[in-house]
Amino acid sequence: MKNYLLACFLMLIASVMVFAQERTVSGRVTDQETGEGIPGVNILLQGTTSGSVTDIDGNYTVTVPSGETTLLFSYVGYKTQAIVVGNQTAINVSLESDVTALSEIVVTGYGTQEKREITSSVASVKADDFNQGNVNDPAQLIQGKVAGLSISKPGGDPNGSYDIRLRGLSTVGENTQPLVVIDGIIGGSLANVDPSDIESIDVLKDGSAAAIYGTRGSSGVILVTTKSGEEGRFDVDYNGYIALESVAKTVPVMDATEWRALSAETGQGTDLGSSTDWFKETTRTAAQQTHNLSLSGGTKNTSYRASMNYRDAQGVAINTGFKRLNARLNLQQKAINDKLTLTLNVAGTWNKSEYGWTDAFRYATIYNPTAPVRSNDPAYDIWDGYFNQVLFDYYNPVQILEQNPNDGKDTRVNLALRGAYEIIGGLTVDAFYSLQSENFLRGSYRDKNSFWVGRDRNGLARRELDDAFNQLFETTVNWNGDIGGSTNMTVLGGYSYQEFVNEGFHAEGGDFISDFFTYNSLQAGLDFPNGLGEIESYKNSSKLIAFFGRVNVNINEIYFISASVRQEGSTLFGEENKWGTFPAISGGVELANFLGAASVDNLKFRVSYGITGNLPPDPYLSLLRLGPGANFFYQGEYVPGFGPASNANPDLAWEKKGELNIGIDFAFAGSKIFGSFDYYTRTTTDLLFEYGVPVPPNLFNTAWVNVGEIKNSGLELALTWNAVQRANFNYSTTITPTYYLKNDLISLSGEFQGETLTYGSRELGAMGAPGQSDVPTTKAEEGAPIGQIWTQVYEGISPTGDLILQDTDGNETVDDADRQVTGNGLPKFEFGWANTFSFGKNWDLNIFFRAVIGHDLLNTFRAFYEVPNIINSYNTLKSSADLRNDSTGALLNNSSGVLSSLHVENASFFALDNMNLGYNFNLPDGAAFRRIRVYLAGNNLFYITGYEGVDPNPRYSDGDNPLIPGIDRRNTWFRTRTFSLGVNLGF
Amino acid sequence: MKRSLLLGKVFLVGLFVTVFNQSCTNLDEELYSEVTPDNFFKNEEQFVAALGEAYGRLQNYASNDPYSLDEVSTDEMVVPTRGQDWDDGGDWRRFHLHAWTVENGGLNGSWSFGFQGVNSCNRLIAQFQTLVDEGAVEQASADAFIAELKVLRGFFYWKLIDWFGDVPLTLDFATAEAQPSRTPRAEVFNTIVADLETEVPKLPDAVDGTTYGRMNRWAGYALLANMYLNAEVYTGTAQWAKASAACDQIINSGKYSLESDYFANFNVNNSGSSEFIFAIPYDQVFFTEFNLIMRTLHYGSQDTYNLTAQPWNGYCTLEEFYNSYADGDRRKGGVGTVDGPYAGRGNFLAGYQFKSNGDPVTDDGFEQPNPDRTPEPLLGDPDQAHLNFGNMGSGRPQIHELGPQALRQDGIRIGKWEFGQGATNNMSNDRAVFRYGHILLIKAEAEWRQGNTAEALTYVNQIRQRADVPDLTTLDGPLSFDIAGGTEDGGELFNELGREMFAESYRRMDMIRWGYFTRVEDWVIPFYNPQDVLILDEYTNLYPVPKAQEDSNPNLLPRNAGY
Repeated sequence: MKNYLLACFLMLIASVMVFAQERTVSGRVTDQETGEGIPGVNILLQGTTSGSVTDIDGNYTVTVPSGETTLLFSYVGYKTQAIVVGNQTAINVSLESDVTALSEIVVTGYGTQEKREITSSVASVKADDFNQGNVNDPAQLIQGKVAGLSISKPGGDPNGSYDIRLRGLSTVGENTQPLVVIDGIIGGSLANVDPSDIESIDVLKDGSAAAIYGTRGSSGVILVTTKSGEEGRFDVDYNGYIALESVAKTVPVMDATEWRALSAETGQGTDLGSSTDWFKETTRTAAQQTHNLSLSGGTKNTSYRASMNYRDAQGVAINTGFKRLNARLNLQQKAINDKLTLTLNVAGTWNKSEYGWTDAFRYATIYNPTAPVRSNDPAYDIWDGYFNQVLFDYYNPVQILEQNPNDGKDTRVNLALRGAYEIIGGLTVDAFYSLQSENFLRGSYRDKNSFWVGRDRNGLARRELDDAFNQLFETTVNWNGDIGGSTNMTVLGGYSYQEFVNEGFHAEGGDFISDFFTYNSLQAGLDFPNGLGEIESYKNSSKLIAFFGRVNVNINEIYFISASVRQEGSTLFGEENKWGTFPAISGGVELANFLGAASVDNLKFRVSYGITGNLPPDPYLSLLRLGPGANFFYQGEYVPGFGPASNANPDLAWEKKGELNIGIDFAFAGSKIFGSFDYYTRTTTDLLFEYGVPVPPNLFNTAWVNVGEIKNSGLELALTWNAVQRANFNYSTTITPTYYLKNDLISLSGEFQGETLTYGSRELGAMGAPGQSDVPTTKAEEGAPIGQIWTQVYEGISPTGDLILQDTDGNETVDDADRQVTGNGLPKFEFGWANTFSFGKNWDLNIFFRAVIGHDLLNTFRAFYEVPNIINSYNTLKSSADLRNDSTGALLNNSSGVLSSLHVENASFFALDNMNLGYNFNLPDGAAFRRIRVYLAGNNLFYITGYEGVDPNPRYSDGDNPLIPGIDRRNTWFRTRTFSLGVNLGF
Repeated sequence: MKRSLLLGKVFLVGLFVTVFNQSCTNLDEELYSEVTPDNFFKNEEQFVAALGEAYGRLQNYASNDPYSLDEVSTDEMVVPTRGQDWDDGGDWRRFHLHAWTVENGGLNGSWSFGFQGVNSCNRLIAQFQTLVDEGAVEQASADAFIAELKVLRGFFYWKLIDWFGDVPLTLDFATAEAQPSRTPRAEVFNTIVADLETEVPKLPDAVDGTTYGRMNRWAGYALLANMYLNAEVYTGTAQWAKASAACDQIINSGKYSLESDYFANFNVNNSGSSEFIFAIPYDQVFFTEFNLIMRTLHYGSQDTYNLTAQPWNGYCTLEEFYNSYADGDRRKGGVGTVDGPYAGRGNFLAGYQFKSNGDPVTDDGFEQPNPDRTPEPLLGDPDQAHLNFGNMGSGRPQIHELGPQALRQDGIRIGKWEFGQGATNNMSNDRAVFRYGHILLIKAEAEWRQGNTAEALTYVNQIRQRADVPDLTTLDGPLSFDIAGGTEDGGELFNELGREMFAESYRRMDMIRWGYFTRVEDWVIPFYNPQDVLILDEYTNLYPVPKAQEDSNPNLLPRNAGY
């Protein structure tokens, strides 16, 4: 191997030397259809990095060494042309526009297909179309870009992750997010890919496309392909940016002046003499920097790409942020007369985070604006001089963030090796091995003088270590060939084996002699010898084994058929149901050939149906297990009590989703307009649900069972229009609207051990303390849409200031029975709208809008704190002062929040998600740089919304419960806005 | 190149072999940190651990839902809504106003407390019998466990019929129905009592470490005494003589005696009190959940006891009940003054409160008067007020209103169980379920009910002597919740039950047996929320089966009358 690389290196040197003798070639590049000159066309000497670009009229001059040389003319939207120079000195080229919509390569899982052959609903986003600017998470790259794919992260937590949903909610279990496959590694972690290393992201949307992933396909599949080296190039690229992130929206609570005015009116609350903006005290303008360096290239037999990415991001909350180093190496080597291709991918991420404490946001919101941050009064020495008051659930947020570290270190390593051997033409055997190792180490400490928890416990330290390890082995056989006439067929067969092991421990204890140790010396905490420390460790494992096959047939480029099946088994299933079968079939017909209209390049009608599954969330759920209960005082000492901790369910199986997709792909007018339209309807049955069951006959009071049914349907459109294609101005626009027709919980009833389980309708969610512990937020109801927000109905304020709630059942008392559906947490309609402009050959501009429409949010900040009288304990919202009777002007006189429809708000929004203006420098021939681009980008620039809370983005679940969407909790990070300035350099 | 070819083949073949050799289709689960019956029940220690699971079901008895059902609906205790705190959708106010519904908090937890206990006992009885059948255990040693489990099951059933009336009666695990219907209360009572009468004599009579925290014979008789005492409520037929006889079994055994100090039963280190017939051995580490300390104390009390968590400022006693103790009653205890903490520990924490360093506890949560309130404006706590539980000596009502604007310092707190310095949110005091002092009062009532007032007085006066209050010469008097009212037959005996057994989970039962439970208007605190209503009706003598249970088992319908 070493010799081989050396040889490559020498070859490169040699080729550079050959280029020493030079001459000049010039000419003009035009559009084949219009005859106009095309500016900015790349002209490259094949096998080298040198070349030129055309000017504004399409003219070019390029220096060419003597000898046999080929020039490559390439430009986005046109087919690349290669022309052998020979003895010519003037070469005019007319480029043919590329029907990109058709020849685009789409990754489909265990293979690729050209877009024109695809018969299921698959969306592909290439690097050129990714969102730009301050992007730290791969999910951000495609936010809003794929119809039906919702990506949401309310608030600006730098360490938070995105909630990803495909085509709404089709499960009530934990696996609501799509399966991620990174370069063939199934179940990969997006956190181990740096966004700048990604070449393309493909989304398998419908059941037939995802069925090849069997028990894990139900929530969709996201296939990430990382960049690799290209033959004949030797590139060094540097991308870097600095960014400033600032708070864009906080909870609109009263400032000191407003607070004093309301206090004077209500006669409540005590003026503590200061004027403090608690948001200002707890936040900052956060600085971020990102550097990516990549080396890539290749020869005929070897290609490689290595990259190193460094990100240093502060969070807008003080003492939060992360530093991340990521490295990736993709290496491909051909051997044995090009018959064997070995590919090695190695990636590692080392991340250090400061999480901060989200509680601080809640306290910053409710803290009295007349309270000082610190006090010199010796009475406050016990809290290190921070001002505090002894009230319920009320702590100085600055003290929380400044005094108490909450840190984490994540290490992620992926390793993958693939060997593909072409036995005879068209027949390839492929073996793939990968491992993923993820290790999370956390540490937090509450200071001895932290009024928040720390002082209670005399210091409190916590350590957590979690380790996840999985190995995947797959082997496939692939055959591609013609089977008579113009019928082409591709056949795939394979075997897959994946094993997961999770283990870890955590320990928490307090009573420390000194704050010096923070979380680094748990043994110094007396809680452990006193038995008050908490210690836990665990280990579990699971396995997935599958056999799968797929046949794709292309008849005369007109009829396309694809059928696949995956037979998959998992240790997670019950004894009686270890193996499941997940078939799919799809077909398409290219109507353009029949229409014969020149303006129609592509009009493909397709129908697909597939069955996918969903796994139980944890191992061992089908087994009867015993677990420790309360201790037992036996003969003068405590011994552990052991009893049943779960019921056996040997029938426990996968969730089953059947999905029908009907779609049309189209391209008109030389692919000036292209896109696709899809209708889907999906039914999920045998939902995995933890049911309350009677004891006896059962041993334990809950059981994991397969019950019920969920139905979703929707319409999706992806439409691109290359509106203006002129020499000095290009404009193209893409919209990706999604309309959700239905997301209903048909049933959650079923059977377990011969007994009927009836769900009916249930109240879920709890508002929480103070004072609303038993107040539900949501009603889950069979036959009704998922996400019904469930509250009493606000009617007004009486002349004396009493809250009036509607007596909806007309029984003359207002009570819990008067609750109504007052909103729905899931969106009805979403769209992304991308706009790409280029001016001349230097300027480019991207503007991306995103809208989510039709969802409501339960604004819990208001539900708790929008009460004028509350200012005797907490700060209140500005809007509290408006809660009056219209005629008497009497203020609402309740002293506690009462949840009602008043707090349920339409959270539809239209946002300018990102905007990016770039300038490409003109580079003279022979410059040290291949490319210099500088850009200015803004993210989350504005939101147009009626929602009064911090962030109108949908909340897809509450805690981990997907049946409770739409609850805006009080610990949400504030919404932020980012500006970044960056440079792309190519050497 | 030849070598590369070979290497390539070896690589591929190697990968195949490695994996296929390793069980290419084996899907058995591999366990590491979980236990299944396959790897349990292997030794004596594990049998004991299994038995322990049934006793573990008692964990919620003293503080959580069952406690609220037994106490917060009575004249002994109330949880006012103080601003936002303890609103909880009105659940706590409804307890006080007897306006609970099938969805009220506390009900489902109590139902589960009872039936999880019953089910654990039934399951273990079946499992031990199976082990005998398999020859793994001697019949004799299994019988001892089984008798003990049946008596423990009796305890859970007693609580269930007491709260809910008719409940499903399930005594055999193997033949149990999944969705049983309810058996009439009297039938459950008769079946359980018959079972206890058979099993109790089989239990060990030792009163020592081997039976502490477990059902011994005397605990069994104490359970029977309580059931006979309330037989009229459960079945319509009184069984006073049987109640008296069950008490005699305990009294005549000579194994128990009154502690000279009442509070020896309630101190942190109260294990092995000579009065404990059956106690739950709570511990801050080993047997948690006795969290009255959190539920009753004020936030600022944290500095009085240097607690490791901030308390929740909830449970209080009512003014009339507090005043039903004579001054000088040792059980009442002293009152903190503005100059210093109370002298003489009592069942209550009243008056001004001080930190452990002697400084006053102040309340930063000032409540200002609201001049616009109707029917009448509230008074307010002054800023930085010195915390004064129950506004003692101020001439203000102890609790201004039930809610939503009860003042934060309103209400005398429950100080019966000692709060240790540096305590956590789980108390280490053992919690008596059956206590000798109570047995004497049951004996007294059973005799009084049979017309033997003189004998009853001797038992009552034993209790009073310990409390340093004068002997009674008559058991008649005004009732604790209506001290200004007229004399009632046995009124002082009823009051003495309250004074002695305050906060020990017997008040609701006693009030129902005496017919006073539904006289809420006599102790109701003014309430303000327009949604709040006061229910004065006999139907509240039974709690309804919780909605969550109805939902999973429609055979539990119809509901108790009135709901």
